[in-house]
Amino acid sequence: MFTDEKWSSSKNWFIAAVFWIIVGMTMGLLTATKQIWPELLNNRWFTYGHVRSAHVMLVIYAWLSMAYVGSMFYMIPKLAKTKVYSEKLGNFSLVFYNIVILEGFFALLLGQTEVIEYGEFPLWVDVQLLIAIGLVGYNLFKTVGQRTEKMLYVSLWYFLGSLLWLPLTWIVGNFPARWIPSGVQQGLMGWFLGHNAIGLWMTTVGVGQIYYLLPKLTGRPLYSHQLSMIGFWAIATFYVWNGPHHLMNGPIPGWISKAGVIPSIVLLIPVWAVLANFWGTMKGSWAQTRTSVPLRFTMAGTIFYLFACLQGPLQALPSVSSVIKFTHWTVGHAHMGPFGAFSFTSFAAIYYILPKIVGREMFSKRAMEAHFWFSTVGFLVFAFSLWIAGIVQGFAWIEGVPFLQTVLMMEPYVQGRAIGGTMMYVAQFFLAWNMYKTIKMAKIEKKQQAQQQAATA
Amino acid sequence: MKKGHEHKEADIVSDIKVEHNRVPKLLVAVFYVVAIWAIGYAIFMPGKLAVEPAAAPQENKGELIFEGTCLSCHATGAAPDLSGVAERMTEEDIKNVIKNGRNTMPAIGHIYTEKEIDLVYEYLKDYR
Repeated sequence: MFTDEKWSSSKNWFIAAVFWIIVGMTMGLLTATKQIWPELLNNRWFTYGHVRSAHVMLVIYAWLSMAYVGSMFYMIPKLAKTKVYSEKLGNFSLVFYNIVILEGFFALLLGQTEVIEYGEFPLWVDVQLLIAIGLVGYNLFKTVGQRTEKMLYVSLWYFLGSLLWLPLTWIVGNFPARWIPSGVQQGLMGWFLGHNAIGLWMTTVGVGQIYYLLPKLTGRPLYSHQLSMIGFWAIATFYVWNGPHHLMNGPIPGWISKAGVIPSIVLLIPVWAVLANFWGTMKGSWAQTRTSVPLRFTMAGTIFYLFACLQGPLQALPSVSSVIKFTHWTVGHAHMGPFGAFSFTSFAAIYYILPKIVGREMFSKRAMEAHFWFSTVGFLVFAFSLWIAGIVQGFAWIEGVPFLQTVLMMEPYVQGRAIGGTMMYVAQFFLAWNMYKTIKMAKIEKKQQAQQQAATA
Repeated sequence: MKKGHEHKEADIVSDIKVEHNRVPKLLVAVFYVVAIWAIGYAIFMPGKLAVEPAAAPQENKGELIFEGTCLSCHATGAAPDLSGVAERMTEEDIKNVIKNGRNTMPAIGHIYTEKEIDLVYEYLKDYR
């Protein structure tokens, strides 16, 4: 029933991922549009709260996670110099995972939610998703288990770590909260998931992708083994403590607050170590970003990663937090890592891996360029609108400007965000169309070759 | 991995060359600064903003409550305009409506103290 064709898992996970980025970003654009025209699609399925949480959950657990699994199903066997343990299981887990995501999507539209950021799916979906992640992890660990390369390349440390950390944070964030006393404890548990879904899944797999892509795309050696070690172990040690900074200035004990602030700043160590490693590797290769779209996506991703991780630690400080908390600023920041940094590296991974799997170049270079520029410019318009809005809003609240007035002040910024968002959205259609064409052309070409061979034989 | 980072021979892992360049000095300096800051912060800082126990009395509290709460409906057309309301209703009636609500207006008495409701009334008296 499920194919065990070589690299089919990787390819199919990518296809599903791109399907979901379109659905997920449709939800995102709808959220943004509702802030301009609140009456739009105002029925019981598509209320603001339903649509927003569906957007968040889909882009993270459907688009980004599937793109990650797709790249891991290619990169892990390549690095381990073996084949995927079971392509059949890979394809089965894909179908299962998609059914679970679909269930979660409809559950959210129906109004079932757990009200945990990045963990909004209800319990019955959470359990299934955990099983699906487990299946993927099992398959990939088995793949590494049968490796013929003795040493583990950096990317593998990150991938294997992430495949253990994701289930861990998922369990802690979703399950115990219903049995412990409600209130701030639940908030802390929820933010354990909320922040570690970013830090020990999105960041770490994304960084692993870059470690793989950079030497391959530039043909240059990786800059420093020591920096790789510092980056990996520092993030593995400190990231897990970041949750409390989301409850900054809230009703949490001072020591928990500090236990959240300090690791947030200490995170500068792994981030800068990793980036120094990337940019050291890039030395002398920057000109290649003019012609190679995957490399440009990767490097733009590293730059957005740097800025996300300059904002992040600062936002964790109580003084900064007191201004920007609950404002539009946060939304701009929250998009920089998942979209600007790691969706970009996933785009690069797709553009690098897909041609290798189907055996032909991407169908259209122009579409790749359009994808890059619409994504980048769109994101910048989107993000700067929100950042300016957030600062204006934050200080207006401190000044005591009546709330309704601060809402009306946001009008131009909210419109700017929707315009940028539309560009980001349009960009993804170039990706989807290009992928579709590439796969279709590859099939046609293979058929023609076979016919020619048959004719000449 | 090979022991001893002094000699700069690169390893080859999964066909990818991995070099052993030294960590840039600037980065090492940053690591130390961050580490020292972290220890200092842990020992000397409270970890959240110090909030003054009693907020300074606000002269215009009645106005603030009126604009922040009442106008959310009474300025948007969702509820009647309140200009000159003190001429149409008695003090007692107005305070009663604020506390217990009327028609579609919810009761908000439990959010505010007696003093605050007085201040809102004071403001309403001159609101035209």
